[in-house]
Amino acid sequence: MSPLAILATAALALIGQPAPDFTGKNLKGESVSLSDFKGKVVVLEWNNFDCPFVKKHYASGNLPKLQEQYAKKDVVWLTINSSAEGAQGYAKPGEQAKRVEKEGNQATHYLMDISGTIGKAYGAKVTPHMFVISKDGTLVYDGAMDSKPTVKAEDITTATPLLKNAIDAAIEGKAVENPKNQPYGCGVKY
Amino acid sequence: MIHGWDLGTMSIEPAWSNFFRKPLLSGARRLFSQKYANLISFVTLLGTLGWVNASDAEPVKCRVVVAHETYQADATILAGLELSVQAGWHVYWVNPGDAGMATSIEVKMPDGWICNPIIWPVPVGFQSGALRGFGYKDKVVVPIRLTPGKDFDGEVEVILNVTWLACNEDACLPGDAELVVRLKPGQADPAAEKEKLEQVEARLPEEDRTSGFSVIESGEWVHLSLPIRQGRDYSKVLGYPETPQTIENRAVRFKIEEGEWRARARKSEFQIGPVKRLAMVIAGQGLVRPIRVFWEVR
Repeated sequence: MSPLAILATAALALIGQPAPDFTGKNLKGESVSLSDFKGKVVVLEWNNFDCPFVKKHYASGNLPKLQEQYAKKDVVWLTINSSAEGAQGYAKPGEQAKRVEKEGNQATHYLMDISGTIGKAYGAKVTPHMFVISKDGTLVYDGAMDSKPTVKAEDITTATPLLKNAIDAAIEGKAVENPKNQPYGCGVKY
Repeated sequence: MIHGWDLGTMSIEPAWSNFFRKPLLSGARRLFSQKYANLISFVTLLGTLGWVNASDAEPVKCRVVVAHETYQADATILAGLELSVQAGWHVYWVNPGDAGMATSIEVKMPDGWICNPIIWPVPVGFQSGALRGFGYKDKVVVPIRLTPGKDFDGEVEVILNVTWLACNEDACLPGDAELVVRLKPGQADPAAEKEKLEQVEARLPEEDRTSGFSVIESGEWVHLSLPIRQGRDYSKVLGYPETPQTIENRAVRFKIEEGEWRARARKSEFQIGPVKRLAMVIAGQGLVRPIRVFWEVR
């Protein structure tokens, strides 16, 4: 079995339902489970640094800034890479760690999901595909970074910040206004 | 001077190649994004197309062709944006599907000039893993019709800003280009490409406001129907949903049931509440030309 083997429930993630638990390995080889973070807002971000839509949000500093900003608000941010071995976005953990640092990723953990188990349990379609889990473990957001499905960084400032709005609502314990919308990006390279 | 439109290739089909050397169409400025930016700058400074052998990594090349080399106040101008897509890659339609990004064309013209709404050619469907999409492979020409302003008597510049995303099974690469067309006033003599462009334009989906296209929702399904009409055989056509996030991203097929043409599709998981509108492009054998039908809740 791969040292990066990941266990996840077979249940599909649905808005308003308990978020499927999963266990994965971070880039240090440590096991990380969603259930470790009970009582906290958790953000899941599907990642492939070579995808132009992901580049948009990293090169602009948008995602690192959000990760840093919400870490200060006790939000757990899990960046998940479901690229299969050899597919675009995949790198061995050591190389991936360097890439994570280079791109400025500030997530709580960066998880490798080579088997795609976590990705498929959540129905992660594209990178970036974003999910937000409330403090009580309910999935409250499944969708896009924002409202402008382009690769242009300049569009970030004029787009509706769908993810940010969802995290803010989750922190405050309020209903997310637009809980499910079509994420934009490159297909996850399962 | 850079004569090319297509700073990305020399592999031009003979029927279209003359236009690359028309002075009126010179001045292509390619603004490639990200990894290609340095390469393009270098080539621009060099002022030659000799570098294009290095373009294998570039999945999309684009250029513009026109049906007339000059303009007259009372005659529309037919131009076409051609995207040449490398084998294995695709670019996206206005409804890109589950992933990807719609190709866009922004036309900048002098005040008083008009550009008709751009109608995109019939797409093809494709699937990558579990994701379905619509777009174009190999080559697509998008006709663009311009109406000159009445009070112009000098050379005018029309600029097309084109952005696209090209994807294959392994990767996606964005691209953009700024293509400049300079037109001089005068007798609008037809260019060599006129006939070919007009043929492409004649195959564009035609708006059919009397199609009787209707949509009924039932649970997770959306039922589509068209009345039986003489001269309309929908048995071999495909219907492509143009309105994003209404029904699943796959082409539908129609068959006759209970006195009408019917098809059904799963409602999109991203459609919040009832479907309120749906535009669909229908094309294939049995239709004189592709049609675009539209339904909206009343």
